[in-house]
Amino acid sequence: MRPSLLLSLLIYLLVLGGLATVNGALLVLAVPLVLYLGAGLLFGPGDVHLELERSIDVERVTQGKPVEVRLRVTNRGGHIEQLWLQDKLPLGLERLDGETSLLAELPAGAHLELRYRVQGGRGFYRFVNVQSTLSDRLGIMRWSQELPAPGRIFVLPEMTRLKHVAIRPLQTVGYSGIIPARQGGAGVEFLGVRAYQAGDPLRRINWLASARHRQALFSNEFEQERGANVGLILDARIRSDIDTSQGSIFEHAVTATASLAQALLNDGNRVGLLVYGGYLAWTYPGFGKIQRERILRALVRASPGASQVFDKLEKLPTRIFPAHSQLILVSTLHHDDLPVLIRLRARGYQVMVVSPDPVAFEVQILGSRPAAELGIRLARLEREVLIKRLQRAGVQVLSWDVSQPFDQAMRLALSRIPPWVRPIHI
Amino acid sequence: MNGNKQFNAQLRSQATTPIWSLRWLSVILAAAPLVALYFWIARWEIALALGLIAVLWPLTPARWEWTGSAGLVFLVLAAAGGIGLAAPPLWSLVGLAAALSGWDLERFTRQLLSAGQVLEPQRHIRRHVLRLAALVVLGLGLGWAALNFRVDLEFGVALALSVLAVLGLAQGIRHLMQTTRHG
Repeated sequence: MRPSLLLSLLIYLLVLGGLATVNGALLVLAVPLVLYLGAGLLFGPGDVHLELERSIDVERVTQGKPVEVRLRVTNRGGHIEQLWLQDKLPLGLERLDGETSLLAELPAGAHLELRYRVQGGRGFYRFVNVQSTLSDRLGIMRWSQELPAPGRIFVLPEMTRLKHVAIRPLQTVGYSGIIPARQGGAGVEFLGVRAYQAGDPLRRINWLASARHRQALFSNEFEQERGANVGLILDARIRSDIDTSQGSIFEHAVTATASLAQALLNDGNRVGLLVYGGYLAWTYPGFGKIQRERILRALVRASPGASQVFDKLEKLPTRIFPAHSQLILVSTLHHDDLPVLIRLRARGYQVMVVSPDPVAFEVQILGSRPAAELGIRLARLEREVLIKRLQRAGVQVLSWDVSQPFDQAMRLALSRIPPWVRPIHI
Repeated sequence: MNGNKQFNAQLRSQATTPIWSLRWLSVILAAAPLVALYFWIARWEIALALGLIAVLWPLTPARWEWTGSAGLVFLVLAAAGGIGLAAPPLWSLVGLAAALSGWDLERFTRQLLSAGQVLEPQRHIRRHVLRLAALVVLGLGLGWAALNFRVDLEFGVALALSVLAVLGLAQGIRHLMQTTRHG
């Protein structure tokens, strides 16, 4: 109950009791209460005009890095005897030091600063309002309001630096990159020998081949190196995630996607991202650092979600990916994903699957229990069969035990193109 | 700034904070005149109940915010009841003023403890206690004066003054409720 209401009721009770019983002493009892209430009325906040300004030292941080938040409040109105300011921390942020609430007196024109440091896991955190309660010194006259003080923090996913991701899509784009384009031109890889054409530099002439023929010169031809269209697909279906007290496998999938995006963009590819889960979040393909930032921001917001429509990969909107491009699916994999991936391969997409190993992840958490041994063996066999069938369909698969660093797993498995993936000219 | 931090840390340890001692003192002071009053008029059961309230009130968990208000209501009713039982009204007045300060200090303590940081805490507490003391002293003084000065009024005048008092009070409270708003 508000203090002013409680006091008013007691005063009424005493005054009416005094009048009803014609007892002056009861009326006298109301005097301290009336004075107390009157003081609240007299010294309560009058002209209220507060200005709030929030500053965050870095809006974009990597996981585990603390961020300092400052909140400056300036009183543009009359004298405030008591100001109680409480900042609301977005869910998921943890306060490291400093305070998020402050009780102080604020004279007209003066200002105060609230300062604290927070830390959070991967995510997008938005500060909206600050709760302010102004009152007289005794807290009788109160004025509560929520003042807007917007702010945001992007906590980026962890990333590992990958040296090279070996991809070989059927088509390349017209920009330079590092993927052999199977076309003659400026490059370093030898492609073949052709008849000399006027303008060919002398150092390109293949003297051995030319010596074998009279009246004919031959030039070496090198393979052009181009960028490619790459579509990254992050599986954010709730059933693909294993969320435990010691972490979530989805976080590893996000780390892998971010690392792949960074490496592929560094190699001059055109990369897009589709987060497939509770909804579809599509980041249109692009090049360079701005695209890297777009993809990272999309990954910051990504979270596992449930949807009846997108529960299976069947609803994957393949038309958004350019024809014959490279697709990289980051998923823990399910048996019903197999036909969809084979279909994608049949349509001419070069498909790679990076699969954080859910069995190894769970075993690591559960520990080795005799009762679970058989179950673990069965789950491993099922997964191996699935991976083998995918590989037979021409899909590159990296089964990643998340206890191993991602760059190490990538270096071992996907830094070279396996012979069976070498594309067929069409 | 360092002193502030130290005091804020001290504020959280209830036993060492002067404000908590003040609260205990205030609650005991609130109940003592009323306990004595009910002993005086030989109403042992009420005196015992008041004594029990005085002991239990500061011991209630901090999350029970209603205990302060309930204690105040009970003590005000006890003070009014004392007057009804023809006990000395000055004792009731002192008990009520002390109950008011106990209730106020309890709310103030809760507020201090819920705030993460209190700027210039010693000054803040001193100013609060000074205003409360001034109001209590003024209230007791005015009450004492009202009890000792007798004015004889005609019935009609008394009725008109009563109606005026009730209307004025209603107006004041309405204004108070309007200005104590949530934005």
